[in-house]
Amino acid sequence: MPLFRSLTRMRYRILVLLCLTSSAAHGQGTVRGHITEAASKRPIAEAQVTITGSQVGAVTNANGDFVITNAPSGSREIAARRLGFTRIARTVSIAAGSETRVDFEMLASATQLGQIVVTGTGGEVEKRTLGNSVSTVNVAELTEKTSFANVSEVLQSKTPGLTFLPGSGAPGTAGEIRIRGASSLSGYAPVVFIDGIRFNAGDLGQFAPTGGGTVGLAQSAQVTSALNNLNPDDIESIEVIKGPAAATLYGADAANGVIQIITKRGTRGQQQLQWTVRAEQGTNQYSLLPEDNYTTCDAVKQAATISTTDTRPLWPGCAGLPVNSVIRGNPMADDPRAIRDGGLSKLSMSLRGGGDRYSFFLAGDRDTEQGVFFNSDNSRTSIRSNFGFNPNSKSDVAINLNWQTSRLRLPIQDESANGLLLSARRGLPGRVSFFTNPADSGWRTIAPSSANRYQNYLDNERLTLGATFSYTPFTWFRNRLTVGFDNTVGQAQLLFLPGDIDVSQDPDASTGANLRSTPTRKLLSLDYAGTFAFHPTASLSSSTILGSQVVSDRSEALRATGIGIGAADITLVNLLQRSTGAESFSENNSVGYYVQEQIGYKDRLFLTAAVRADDHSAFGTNFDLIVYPKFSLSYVLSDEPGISGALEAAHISSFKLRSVYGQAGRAPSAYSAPQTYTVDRVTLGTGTNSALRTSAYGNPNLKPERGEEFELGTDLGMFSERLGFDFTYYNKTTKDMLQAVSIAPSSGFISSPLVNLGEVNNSGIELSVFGVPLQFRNAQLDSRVSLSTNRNELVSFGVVGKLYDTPSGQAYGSVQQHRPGYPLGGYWVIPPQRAADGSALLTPAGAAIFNTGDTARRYIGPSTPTREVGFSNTLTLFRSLRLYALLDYKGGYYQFNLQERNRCQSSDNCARTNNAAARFPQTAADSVLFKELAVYRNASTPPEFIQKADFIKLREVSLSLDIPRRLIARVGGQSARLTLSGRNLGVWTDYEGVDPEVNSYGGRNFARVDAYSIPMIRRYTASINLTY
Amino acid sequence: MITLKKSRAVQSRAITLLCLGILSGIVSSCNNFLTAENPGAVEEQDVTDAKYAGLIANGPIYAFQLAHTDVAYWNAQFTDELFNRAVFVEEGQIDRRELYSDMTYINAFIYAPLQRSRYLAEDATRRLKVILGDSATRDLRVARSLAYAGYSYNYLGETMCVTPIDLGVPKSSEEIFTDAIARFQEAITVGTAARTFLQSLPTPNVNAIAAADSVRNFALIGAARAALNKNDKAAALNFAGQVPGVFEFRAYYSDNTTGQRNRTWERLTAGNNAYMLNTPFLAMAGDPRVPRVAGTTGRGTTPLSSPSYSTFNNTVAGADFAAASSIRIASALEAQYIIAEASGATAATLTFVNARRAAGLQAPVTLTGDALLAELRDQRSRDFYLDNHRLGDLRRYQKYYSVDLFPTGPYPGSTSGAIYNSAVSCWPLPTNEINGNPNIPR
Repeated sequence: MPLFRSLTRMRYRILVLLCLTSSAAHGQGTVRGHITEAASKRPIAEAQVTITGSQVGAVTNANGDFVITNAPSGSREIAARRLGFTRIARTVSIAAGSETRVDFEMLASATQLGQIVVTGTGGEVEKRTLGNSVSTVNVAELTEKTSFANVSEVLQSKTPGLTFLPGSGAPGTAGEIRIRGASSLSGYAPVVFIDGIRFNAGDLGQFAPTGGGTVGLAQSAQVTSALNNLNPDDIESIEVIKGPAAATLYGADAANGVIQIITKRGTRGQQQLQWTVRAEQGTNQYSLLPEDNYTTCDAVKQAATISTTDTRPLWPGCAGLPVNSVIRGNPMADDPRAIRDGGLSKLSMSLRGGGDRYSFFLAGDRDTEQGVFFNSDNSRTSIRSNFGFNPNSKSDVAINLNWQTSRLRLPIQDESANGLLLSARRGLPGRVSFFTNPADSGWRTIAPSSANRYQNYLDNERLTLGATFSYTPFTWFRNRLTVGFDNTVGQAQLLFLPGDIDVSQDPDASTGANLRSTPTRKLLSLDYAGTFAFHPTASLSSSTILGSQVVSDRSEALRATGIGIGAADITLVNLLQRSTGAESFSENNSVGYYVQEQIGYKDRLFLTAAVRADDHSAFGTNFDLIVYPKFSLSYVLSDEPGISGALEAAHISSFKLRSVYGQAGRAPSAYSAPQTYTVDRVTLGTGTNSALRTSAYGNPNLKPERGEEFELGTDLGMFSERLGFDFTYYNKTTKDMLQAVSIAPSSGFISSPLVNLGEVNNSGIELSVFGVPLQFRNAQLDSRVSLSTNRNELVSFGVVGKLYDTPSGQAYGSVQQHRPGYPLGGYWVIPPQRAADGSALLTPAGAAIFNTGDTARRYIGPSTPTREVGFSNTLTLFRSLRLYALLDYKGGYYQFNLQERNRCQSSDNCARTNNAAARFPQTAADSVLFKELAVYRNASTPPEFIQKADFIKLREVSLSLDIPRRLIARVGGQSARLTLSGRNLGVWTDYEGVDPEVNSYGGRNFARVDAYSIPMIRRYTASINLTY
Repeated sequence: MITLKKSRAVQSRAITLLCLGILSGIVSSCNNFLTAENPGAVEEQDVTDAKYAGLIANGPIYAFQLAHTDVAYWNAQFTDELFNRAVFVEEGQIDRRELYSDMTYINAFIYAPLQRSRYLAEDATRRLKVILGDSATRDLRVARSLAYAGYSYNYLGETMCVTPIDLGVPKSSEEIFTDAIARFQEAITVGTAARTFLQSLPTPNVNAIAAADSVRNFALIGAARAALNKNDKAAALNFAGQVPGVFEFRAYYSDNTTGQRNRTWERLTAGNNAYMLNTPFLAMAGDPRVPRVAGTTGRGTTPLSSPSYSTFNNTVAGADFAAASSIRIASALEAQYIIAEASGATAATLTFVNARRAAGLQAPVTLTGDALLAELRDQRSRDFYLDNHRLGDLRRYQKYYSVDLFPTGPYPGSTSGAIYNSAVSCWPLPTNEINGNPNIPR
């Protein structure tokens, strides 16, 4: 309580100071008002109120109140704007020295044609002028409703066309983001900007969490993402533009779309200082336990002994049971050392304020999260500061600074013999233990006592600094220069103490190993745009933008490896028995120029043409500039006098048609163009020397991909904006695709050079529906549906005679393939031969028969969702109680259930192969099962293990309660909210694995395998949010 | 006013010049900006500088040694030398010779390393000739590069069913052996000239002369091996007959870094991925040349160091491989085997066979004709166990002697009725070559 009082006193003192410093000149009055939502009468906080044509304004507080103390007298237009609402304005007469009252009721806007968009536009423009679709995620509103651990969760199922594919449920691991499908064989990640500066969203450089990484244990791996180190509470909104048509102005890096994160900032205008504190506690739970392991105690097992010399029974669990009894076990469920309920906590604070010439936002947060494995932890501390000021009426400066530090401990999982899930799922019930400790019985390759010691750490520090200078020397000429610096420094460590790992798993790590790495990445970006805007006639407007972007991206890492720890407390790399070092370096630089002309007619018809030219350090020596054009049309029909009446009669309040054609690209990776040699170590007798060897084959003609896209859509608002539709059809083709073409080794080179060949097409529809189906004074239901489809097709490799390719990084070779006429990375298998009645044909020895050769392969289906629906509802009762839920559907795709394949084919502990009727057929029906058993147990991959992965998940649920203001006011506060949130609370699927969403090859292009990854964890949180 | 106008004109010219200067500065700094630094590689056109000569000359050694240890292991699994016990699907398929072009192992461990070894050796020869000029005809580094090129051809001919060279049309193994002999002959010529030159120096360097002799003998054995594989016994006798009675040439490995390790150690000692069970070598117990881990449980029957490995200790108990075990590539012993095989079932061959039996603690025999040649083949398999002679030998026996020693019939331990693929006796071209070589018909 004393703290609250002192905060309150401080707030008033600062307010008084602000008032004193504000001008009390003659000819000024005061405007005071209150803003509410038209339907519910709820106050609207953080709405920006401005006096049109002046620098004077204010921001509403949590009660929706505002006051402007130095308003210029006379007849003035007062305008209010807030994301999600229609801009509203009213002209009032302000008398000098007196107070004028202006209250607004703002309409929630379904189409938001007046919304300001900054991504892909060259500057701030209203959405009504755009020919392309832009999805804006109102993060500030979402974080008020529920809890998010990271930015990926925020984006998940909120944006039609953006597919988030998680890897595992371990905190700190990242998934991959595809926008409108995969458009290239060599990569499809969108580029990310934060407040206009280029942001590194790539992997943070941890060690592969699957094992020692020294001898064959890094077969599969999860990745991390710098994106997830941002605090969602610091974000105001996220704009997503989805393809070449919209991203032309970003040039040779943006063909896969652009994600722009707009952080919270203070709003210029008179206001009270606003303190916000959010505290959160919660728990992570392992919700999807795997099914049991099975053993059939046949006569062979019952007679088996440990060895010829050790005659104790090999399967003591089968002793005394009837022959062919089936026993079962589940170490993951039975062993309390395996999984835990991980705790999580979050504390964030922010301070927001501003005046007529400045604004600021300061925030800090501390998050800690435990995973469901005992060796899984993640924590983050961050500070953000956004500061803006107007030195004069023509200039504006915004400075953003973000510093964060994080520490991640990654668990061992995926397809590693040292992974606890693998060890559990391959367990053999009844068999004599693989371990000497009786408590470890039931586990196969590693027991929790060892796995829980696994130490794989990543410490990360990041500084992101951006400054935007705006200068408007004339009303018709605006300049904006943005300078950004994003610096990431990591410290990764993988430490095995002697005995942590068995020699059979990794002979190096078993002796003790300390691996260290210091990945760093520096991104420098420079962005200039000059806008010439004027009205040639009363009906016409013209906006010409000239711009340039410069990006420099440099990554480097030092790595040291020490093998052989003599004493557990001496682990410095240089003191170990064998030490090696390595260094990596990569640099990419690019320069782009663009010009855009937009002609507007009566503020309802907008024609835009643009062209962008790029040069890049990774282009081949025989290639110079790449040029991308763009044309767009936006027509706000509802503003057309001739038809607006008819539209109104049809209850259509806003109606915009839009269409755009544009191109953008994707630059090759660094050093792909020149043919190079490098140096390697050679053993000469007893010494080591250096030897020159071939490295990159190169391609002097290398150029960026050319993505071209046509988009057609409409924004439609009905029933006074209570119902809105945003529909888009897109057709996107990537030409001159960057693909690594296997170089024939007879050339003497091994690495696959990049070439510009082939074509990929993506097409689909995106539909967002926003509605308020219920609206009463004390009850309101807001519904939102986002639906998208994607049809992905490799049109051609462009290589004569090339039939197919396999995704790099897919350890199971041809189970996934790129084939012309089919989706990239689709699943392909060779089915077993079957008789006319459908039963499997068997060899005399009882094995399934598979054809051989490429023509025997059959297409099963795509490996990523082709249909997605996100359906959310927010029910608000009595203006203070809010229930929110999000259902997430993904469908039209398949998953490689490798766990089940391994269990049936290698471990013989799955339910199928321990079906007594199949193993020991007694009836005719049993013999059919017997034939299927032969299919499952065959060493090939039959279609039975490529399984439909469609699912519906209850992704987010929350219940929040606004504490009555009168209670909060007693402690000097403006508002308080209690929220209970849950994530991943339910799943409905026919998929036979544990979780259809996991991928043990997270982050590798296309490779998708369900192999012992931690499923998406269930999370419950409780939070309190206080505003002063 | 005129002065003012002039001054304005001068001023505007100065501003124009300044702008042009700034513009040209921006353009030139853009060009520099767009040249990314790459401290990890040197561009191809720069690899002609004399400062790279030493590195260039080491390239073929590096690539051949790397290829040799991989190829030796996988060819052992392909033939009857090893039986797979690893869980990875492709390893079992290699053991059964169920091969198809898009197997990752073919390219990763066999074909690409051998082709790189061949290319680097020929590339080094070309570059050294440019850098050295006339002296290249008597330069030991050129001779050595040519010899490594010849061995790379030999291995390709013995291992692959067909082999394209430099994106060319695939050649048969016989053609590849012919190419190998051409490289060896040039290596012998340059090596001989190098020896003559070194000897003519005022103060001859004994070590350098010995190195020239070593390279020449290395090339002679390689040429004899290629000739034998072509069934040109006269040429084989000619080349092998010039090799002195004591000689060997080795590939070296080290535990210095992972990439320098002996892969046989990695697979058999560290990895425990194959053993002798279900191979004819299991029955050779008691011969110190075919040592194995005792017993049949745990690592039982896993091979220990065979004669070509530097960790070979010539005892029945044997010794494990080491990460730094060097491997004998060519030796006077091989020259003697070549002479014996090319000569046929002669009295000298019987004498030689009994000498080798003695090395294996076996009693002498009195065999003739095919039985003697069969015994010669048996002894050869023991003396060169796991050192990459076996596949070439089996293919030669099958082709020229109608003797098929490849494993056949049901694959031991299979629960699905798998059998050895008798139709396959060599490695197919990998998909990379098929897709990337315009001269391969599809």
